[in-house]
Amino acid sequence: MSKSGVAVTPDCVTKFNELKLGKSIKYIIYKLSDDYKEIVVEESSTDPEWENFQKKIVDAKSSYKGKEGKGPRYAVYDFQYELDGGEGTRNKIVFISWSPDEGTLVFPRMTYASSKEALKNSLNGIGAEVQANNEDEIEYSTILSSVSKGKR
Amino acid sequence: MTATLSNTTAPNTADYGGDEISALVLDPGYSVTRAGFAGEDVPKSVIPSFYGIVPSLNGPKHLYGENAVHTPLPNIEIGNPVSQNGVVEDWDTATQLWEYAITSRLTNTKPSNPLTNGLNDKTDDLKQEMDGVETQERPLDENPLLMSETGWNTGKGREKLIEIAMENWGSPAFWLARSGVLSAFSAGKASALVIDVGAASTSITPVHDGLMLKKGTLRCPLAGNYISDQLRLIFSTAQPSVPLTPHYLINSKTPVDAGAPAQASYRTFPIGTEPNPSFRALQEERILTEFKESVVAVWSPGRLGGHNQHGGTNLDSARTQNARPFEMPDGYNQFFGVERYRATESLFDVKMALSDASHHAPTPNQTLPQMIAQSLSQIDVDIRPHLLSNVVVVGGSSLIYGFNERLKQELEAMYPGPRVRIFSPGSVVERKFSSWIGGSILASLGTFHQMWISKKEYDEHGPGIVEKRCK
Amino acid sequence: MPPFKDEHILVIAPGSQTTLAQLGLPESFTPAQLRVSTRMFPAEKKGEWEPIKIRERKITKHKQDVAPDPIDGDTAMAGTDGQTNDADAADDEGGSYFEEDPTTEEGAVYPIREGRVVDWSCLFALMTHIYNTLSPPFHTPILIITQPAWTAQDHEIITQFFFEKFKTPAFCLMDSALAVCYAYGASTATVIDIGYEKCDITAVNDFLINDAGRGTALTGCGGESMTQRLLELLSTKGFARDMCEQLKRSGICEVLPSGTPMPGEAEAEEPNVNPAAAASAGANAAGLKGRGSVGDSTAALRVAASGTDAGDEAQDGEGEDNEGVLDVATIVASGKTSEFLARKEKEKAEKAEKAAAKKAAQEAANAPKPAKLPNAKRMTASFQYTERRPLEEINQNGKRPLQNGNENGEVTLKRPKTPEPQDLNETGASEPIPTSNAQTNGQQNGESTALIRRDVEVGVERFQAATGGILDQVADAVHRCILSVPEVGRRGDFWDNLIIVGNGSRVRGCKEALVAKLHSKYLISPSSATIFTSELPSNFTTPVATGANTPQPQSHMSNSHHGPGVNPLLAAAVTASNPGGLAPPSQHQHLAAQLQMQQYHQQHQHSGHGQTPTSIKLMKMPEYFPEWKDAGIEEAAFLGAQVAAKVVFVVDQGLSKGFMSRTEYNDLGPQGIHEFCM
Repeated sequence: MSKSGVAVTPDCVTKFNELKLGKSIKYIIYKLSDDYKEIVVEESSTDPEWENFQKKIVDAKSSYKGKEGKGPRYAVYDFQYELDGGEGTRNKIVFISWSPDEGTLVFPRMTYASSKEALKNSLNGIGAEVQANNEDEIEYSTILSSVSKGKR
Repeated sequence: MTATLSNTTAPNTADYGGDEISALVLDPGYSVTRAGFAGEDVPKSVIPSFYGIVPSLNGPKHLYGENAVHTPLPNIEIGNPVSQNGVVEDWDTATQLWEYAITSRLTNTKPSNPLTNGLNDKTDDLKQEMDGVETQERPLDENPLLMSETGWNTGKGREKLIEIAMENWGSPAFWLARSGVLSAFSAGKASALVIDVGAASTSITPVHDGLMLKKGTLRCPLAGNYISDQLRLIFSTAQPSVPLTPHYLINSKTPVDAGAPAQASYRTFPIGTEPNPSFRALQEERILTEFKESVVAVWSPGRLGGHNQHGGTNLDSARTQNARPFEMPDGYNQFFGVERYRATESLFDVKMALSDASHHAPTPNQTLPQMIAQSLSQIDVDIRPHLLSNVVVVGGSSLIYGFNERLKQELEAMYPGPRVRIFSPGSVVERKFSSWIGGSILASLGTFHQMWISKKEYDEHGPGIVEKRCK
Repeated sequence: MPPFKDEHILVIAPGSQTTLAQLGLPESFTPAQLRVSTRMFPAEKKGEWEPIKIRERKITKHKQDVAPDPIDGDTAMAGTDGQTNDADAADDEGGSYFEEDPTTEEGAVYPIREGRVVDWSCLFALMTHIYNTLSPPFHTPILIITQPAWTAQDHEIITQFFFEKFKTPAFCLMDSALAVCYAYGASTATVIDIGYEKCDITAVNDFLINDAGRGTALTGCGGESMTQRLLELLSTKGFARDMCEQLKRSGICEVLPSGTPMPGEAEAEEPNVNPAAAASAGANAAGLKGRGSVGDSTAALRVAASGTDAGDEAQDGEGEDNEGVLDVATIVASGKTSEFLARKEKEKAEKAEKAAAKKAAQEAANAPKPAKLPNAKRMTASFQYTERRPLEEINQNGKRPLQNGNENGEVTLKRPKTPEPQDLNETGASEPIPTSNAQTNGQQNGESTALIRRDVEVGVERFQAATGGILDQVADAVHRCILSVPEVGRRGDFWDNLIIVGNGSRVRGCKEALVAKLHSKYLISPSSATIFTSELPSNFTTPVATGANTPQPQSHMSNSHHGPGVNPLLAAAVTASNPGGLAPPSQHQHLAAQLQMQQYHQQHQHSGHGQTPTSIKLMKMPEYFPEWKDAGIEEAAFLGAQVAAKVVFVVDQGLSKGFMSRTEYNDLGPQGIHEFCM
């Protein structure tokens, strides 16, 4: 049970399983519902371009009590990378918690942070996890270094 | 709707189709107690944790609140239910103080148990009257209560808190959250190394996936009060010494040149009515706070005791450059150069600590960087880089100019490999009240209502339930 | 919802002693139409209340000896006519009858003490009484001014009462400090509200109240506290509380700035030497000429600035530009310090001449001419004391009862003092309130009574109403309140925007004395070491010969990132500077230090901030409310309430959620008020 009591909708898990098994979905972006009561799928995509994904994440918005700011998000990404020494490619499913330090309202920030465990725990098969708080940290190269180091 | 309007009780929200009743959020500190309603941006009730003790016909009387603590009543003494080590020592007073924080601004005073609310003499008649009184109104029996606790609060301490809430205050529901975790969440991080620089304590709390890592949670004694004490020593050992006379002892002052002796007229109290020295100490603290806000800074780059790129010493640079002026309540004024930096330097470099017979210098292990290193050494090596790139700095004393820059520098020096990133709220209010704000949001989430420990559960399982549920 | 009309808006401001109310917002806002004492009398049935005292009387024969009087005077409440015709009628029937006694306070219950509600039933009854008196139609929105001491739960209780009892369509709660800001048109200010028995001090920041450090209901710091102090000093001379109260309200009672010598104490040689300066050692008051250094210049400025009231002619009048505050920083910065001082010198010399001439004239005349000396210089003075005495006693003493039952003693005063709460017609209401109060000559204990007026002489005690420590306490609370504003760099704004309101502050000289106290205790003097204002300069001025380079007081900017162009004179000065220890820096060092500071702060984003206050200023009274100029601005909260009511109910129509509508109340309940109350 997460700290916040927020629930994970079944759709989140279903979509995740599709990504895991089907290998066509590249990434899924999750968000909190507008009433901040449950985690839902915002979108899923087969687009392999990292930059498009990154843009979606960075441009995300959240609003609270009529005010809008940058929005935190969760995402899972089927990350493919080359091993050193040309030993081939690997795939890892990365769980990304995105919460920009600047431009977010405290309420969404807080709710996302305290609900992360609920989502993560409901998704089996995550290979790596990254907490990204500004744009550098969601660059391809940064994620690559975390993932290929085998960080949990 | 209600036919007769009740005079004293709040309206029963069950009559309305509105949201659930707002929870109360209580975040007690050594210097300040913060309380307010969940869902609000800032705590409406911010009162000193210090309290006044005045003589009365029935023995010493406690006075709470801002006005009480700063008025030089005859023979007033100042106390604090929390010790300088950040641990509650006087539970009865703490209970009254925290209750006052809530009832003076938020809910109303209800007749609480007359035997324990500190307002009545405990006579036999009263006790007899109270016997057999089963149900009575409790002061906070309408709102769920979320309290914050320190990272070093013990199991017994936690049980005591839920007891107070349930039994003294009649809370219908209760939750206890570690203030470090609340601050991490409010910074948007489920994993972080939270450094909270308060008045009596600097807490170091590693949080991972929303859980406080107990092993790495430490209390560093170098915080706001320590810096104040350093200032006191700086002032008393200066040649000539810098007077630290609080406002209440000054009738009027005359402008004097910098460094010249003060020319003021002083207030005297009739013999036998002077306030206790503890009162004076608290009033001096007001000046020191002002001094810290407008003059004190942390030296960087490098250490104050080190050398600069031109080969000169930083101490010399500090003496000649960047001096800031300050005027004391009695009119004494001066430029303060090296003193600005000296007061804070020993947080990082123990060699720079001032000390005397009653104030011992900290040990090298007690500096902030060393304690952070200790903390990190206790936790999983894989997690350390992640925490270092998510350092959250909060707390009023972290607002001292240059503090975060120096902290970053010191951490980078200790850990050259991983990336060190510090997140620290820019707004003063968020910096000072980050754990309260975290609690306010948590307790206002629609989904949180299922998390509360209810009165019923407390009655069934006893105080031990808090250890099980509030992780 | 159809829009609300100006005429149908009800505003109520309850205070511990007096409640103000008004139905309708006139074109130009006026002082309150209705003033009532915040008290009710318990009725026969428990839990019920009456606005005036009702006694049960047995039938006896008695004579009526009543002289008809105009409507005016000291009745308890706007209630029914107090004529005891009932008595005559009942005479014939036998048994007992009920008699109203509008003149007594016996048994009165005051539901608000020191700002806090102590009796809800009584308060609700009072509100009902006011509502019925003003008799608004349905669909009348209501705005209530709240006391700072009220808790969130108090707000809910009041909200529930108004919605349910009066079925109001719209309801707004507004904190009194905020209302004062509306009256003054100030988004950022420090509001000092001196009430009956307590004082509230609030820092309002961009229309948001700063809760931390707020001085709420500071006990023993109200008008009544001053009356009690007078009682302490004068009870041995036979003064009762009522006499002290009237003394306090008269023009001869004056609060002098601390340190002012009482008349009869050691005479200064120069009659206009500032007594504050004389009191502190090392004052430069006498020797202003010939000193060029900054320290002394500014010391002299401070001397000139504070306490200019002391010893000034009473004729100069109250309040015009006698705020008694000089913006020292501006003067020094303008570079015209020496000119200014010279001018002040000249004025002083002229005054000294005048006073000396007067003194000579007085001595020549060899008879005291009290009219010539200002009140503050006279050993004794008289005021008119009005009291109610039994008619027989009056007739025995050969006096005449008053025809005009005005209980206030008024001496030579231009500004009217607070009328007794029942002076409905004096406040310029557009129409007389239908249910007026009774005549002054009512019954007291079954006897005929009347008002008489006599002269009472008082000595120097009349200057000591605030010597119980009120000024110290309030000043210290102001200091704490402003220093609790979280943004250090903004605090200067709060010091520069002080507002003193509240009927407790009406006492002559009170406001000036408080400002003088703040100056003398807390002002950071821009002398040799403390040239900086609280902001790091972003409009640096050219250094002037005196070496004083105080930047102009500026509007708030919490982080000045952009550095100003560095003055070449400064740069040159830096190269000539020599580092020193803690010795008083020379002029060059000042400039060098300033340059350093500037560069230092250009490098860093979040700049540290200097100490405050470097200036202390009262805000100017709002000019655009002519009716209020005569009444005095002490009840500015009520003026602000009208401004706010207009904005919230009429202009804005609820778009920015300024009030709570009935539908919202039905949805959210009383708890919902917190989203709407200001």
